[in-house]
Amino acid sequence: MNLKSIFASLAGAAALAISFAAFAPTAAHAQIEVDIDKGAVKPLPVAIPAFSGGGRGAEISQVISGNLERSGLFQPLNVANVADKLNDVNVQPRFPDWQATGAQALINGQVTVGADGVLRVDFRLWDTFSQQQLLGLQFTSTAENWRRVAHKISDAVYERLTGEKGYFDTRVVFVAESGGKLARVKKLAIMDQDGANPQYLTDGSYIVMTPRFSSTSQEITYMALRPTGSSIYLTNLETARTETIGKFPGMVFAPRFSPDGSKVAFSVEKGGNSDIYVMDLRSRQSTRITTDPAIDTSPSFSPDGSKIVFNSDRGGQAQIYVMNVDGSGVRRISYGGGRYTTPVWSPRGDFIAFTKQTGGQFHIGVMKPDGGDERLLTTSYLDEGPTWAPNGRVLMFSRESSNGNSRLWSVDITGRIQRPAAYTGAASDPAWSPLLD
Amino acid sequence: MNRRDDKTNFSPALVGSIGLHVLVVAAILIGPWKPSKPVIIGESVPVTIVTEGPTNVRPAIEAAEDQTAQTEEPTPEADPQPPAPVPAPVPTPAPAPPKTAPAPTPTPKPTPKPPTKPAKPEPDFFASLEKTLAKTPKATGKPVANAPKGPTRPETATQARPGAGAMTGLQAAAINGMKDEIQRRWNPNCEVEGGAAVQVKVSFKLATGGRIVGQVTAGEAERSGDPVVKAAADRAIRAVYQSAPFEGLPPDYYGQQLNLNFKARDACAAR
Repeated sequence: MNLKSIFASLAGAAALAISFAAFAPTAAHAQIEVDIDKGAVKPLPVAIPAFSGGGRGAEISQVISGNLERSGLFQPLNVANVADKLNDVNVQPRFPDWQATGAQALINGQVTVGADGVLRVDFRLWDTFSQQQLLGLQFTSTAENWRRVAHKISDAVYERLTGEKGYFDTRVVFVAESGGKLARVKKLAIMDQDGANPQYLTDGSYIVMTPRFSSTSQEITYMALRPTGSSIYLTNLETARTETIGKFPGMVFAPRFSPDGSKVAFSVEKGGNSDIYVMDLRSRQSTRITTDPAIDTSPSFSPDGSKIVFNSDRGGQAQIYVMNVDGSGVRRISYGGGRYTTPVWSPRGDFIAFTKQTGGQFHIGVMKPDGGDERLLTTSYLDEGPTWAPNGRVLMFSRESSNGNSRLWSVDITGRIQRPAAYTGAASDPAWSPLLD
Repeated sequence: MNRRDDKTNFSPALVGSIGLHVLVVAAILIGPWKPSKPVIIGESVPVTIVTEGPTNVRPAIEAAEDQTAQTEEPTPEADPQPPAPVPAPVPTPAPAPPKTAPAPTPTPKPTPKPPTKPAKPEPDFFASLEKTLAKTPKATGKPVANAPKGPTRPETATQARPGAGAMTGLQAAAINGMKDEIQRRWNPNCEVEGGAAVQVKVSFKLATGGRIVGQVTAGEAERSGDPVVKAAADRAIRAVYQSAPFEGLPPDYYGQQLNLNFKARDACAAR
C-alpha cells in the first residue's frame, strides 16, 4: 500500500467520521432522567438553637427539642458552638454555618415579654439547604403558658416537615400507682404529654381505672371502685365539675365517649354476664346493645360514630368484634391465635389498636377495621391498654415488668419508634387528650 | 520483495493502527464529547452563596401570622367523695395579638458568605477521556463495548435515560456518581403514613462545574394540598441542593434539564 492510498484511506475514514458526527445523536438537547431509589432513612437532623430573649427562650427551645426528639423522627443537634447566633429572628440565618452542622432544618425564635406581661414568641422554620423559610409564626400568650407555646411550635414544625399532624400540645390522663402490691394506691392523674405539670385528680382513697378522654373537649370519664361498688364518673377538667352517670345493677366499667362527646359506651356486669350499654348524656337514657351471654366489653366508637368495636369471648376466647352503634351487624374481625382485648379505634379511622396475649407474652398491635393487616408493634412481659395520640400515628400504653412495676411507654404505628414516656413514675391506663384549643 | 518495496509498502496492521488513531483524534475533535456550540446557561444562582437580609428576601411559603395560645386553666384537684360541682374559674383571655408581625429589622451583613462546599477544581474532562482511551485494549479484531461491565450497567441502561442516543460508559459513570451523592443525602419520609407512596420528580439545570442554575423544582408536588406530598417534595429538593455541585459530568450535560425521580417506595422498602 502506498502513501497515496494511505492518505486516501485516511481521508475516507475522516469523512466517514464527520458524517457520523453530523448525524449521531448528542445529549446537547436531551433531558436526562435518573431514578433515585435509595435513601438515608434516619431521624431528620434539626438545629434548634436557644431562642433569643433570655432564659425563657432557651427553655422554649429545649421543650421543642425534647418533643421532636421523642417523636423518633428528628435528631436535634448540638449547635451551641455555631458562630451564627441568630440574635434577630427577622434576619436570615447565615446558612453555611448551619449547613456545616448537617442540620436539614433550623428552628430559630425570639421571645419578648411586654410591659403588660404578654409573652410573644416569634419563630421561623428554615430549610437550611434550599435556604427557604418554611414557616413563620408568632404566638402571644400569658407568660405562664410558655410551655404550651413551645408545644404549639413543635406541632407546627412536625406537621411541616413530616406532613402529619402534630400531637405535642396535648395532655395524658393516667392512673398513678404507688405503694406495695398488696396495698397499691391508684390515683387519677394528668400531665402534659411530655411529662410536665403532673397533677393528681383524686386522692387515692378509692381505686380508679380506665380513664378516657373525650375527643372533643377537656372532659374525662373513668371508673371508680369503692367497697360499695363501682361508678362511672365524668369530670370536666376546665371547670372541675364531676358527676356520675347514674346507678346500675351490677358493676359498671370500661367507659368511653362517642366521638362527638354526646354519648358514653360502657359495660355492665351482672351475674357473670357482661354486656355493652350506650348512654345519651343529654337524656341520660341508657340502651343495652349486646345481649350475648358471653363477656362483651371494651367498647370503642369509630370516628364517625356509626360503629363500635369491642371484645367478646362469645367465640370461646377473647376476640375483637365490630357492630353497628345500635348493636346490629355484629361480625368478628380478629382470627389470630391468642386473646385480643382493649380494642381502640384510631381517631383517623384507619386502624384499631388492641392488646394481644399469646405465647406467654403481651403485645400492642394494630389492624385495619376489617381485621386485615394485623401488625404487632410491641412484645413484653405485660403490655396493655393502648391509647391513640390525636394524630392517629402514635400510641401510648402501660408496660409492666415481671417485678410488678408499671410504666407508660409509647410506640409509633410502624413499631420502629418505641420508648418510655416522659413520666417516670409508676403508672398505668393512659388516655391521650385531643389537641388543646 | 526488495528494499524499495519495503520502504513504500505498509503492512495492513500498521495501516489499521494509524487509521484507528486518526479516528480517535477525530472523535476527540468532532465527536459527541464536545458540544458543537457553547452551551447557553441561565444566570447562575449558586445555592451556597447566601445574601443576608430581612426574612422577606425570599417569599415565605406561609407568611408570618399571629396566633394566640389559649390560656390553660389550672386543674383543681377533684373531690374524691361524691364530687360536688365546682364553679368554673374566671377565664383569663389571652391578650389580643397584634394585627401584623413587626416590621423586619434588617441587619445587613455585607460580608459574602463562603460556599458551603469548597469549590473543587474543574475536572479536566479531556485528560480523563484520554486516560480512559489509553486503557482501552488494543485492537484485537473484536468489537469493544463502550459501556462498562458490572452492576452499574443495567442500572444506567434502564434508569438513566438520556433523551437521545445511548449513554456512554463515562456518562453512565458520571450519572451514577451524581445519583450516589443524592442517595446518601435523601431522607425519604418512610415513617409517615403515605410517605412511602409518594414519588416526586425534581428538575433542575447545571452550570459548568456542576453548580445548580436557577431553582430546583418539584412541579405540582411543591404546591400540593397534601402535606405529606409537600414534605416529600421538600425532602427531595433538599437532597439535590445538599449534594451540589455535581462535578465530573460531561460538559454537554451542562445547561440541560436533569429530571430525578425520587421513588420513596423503593427507598423505604430497601431499609
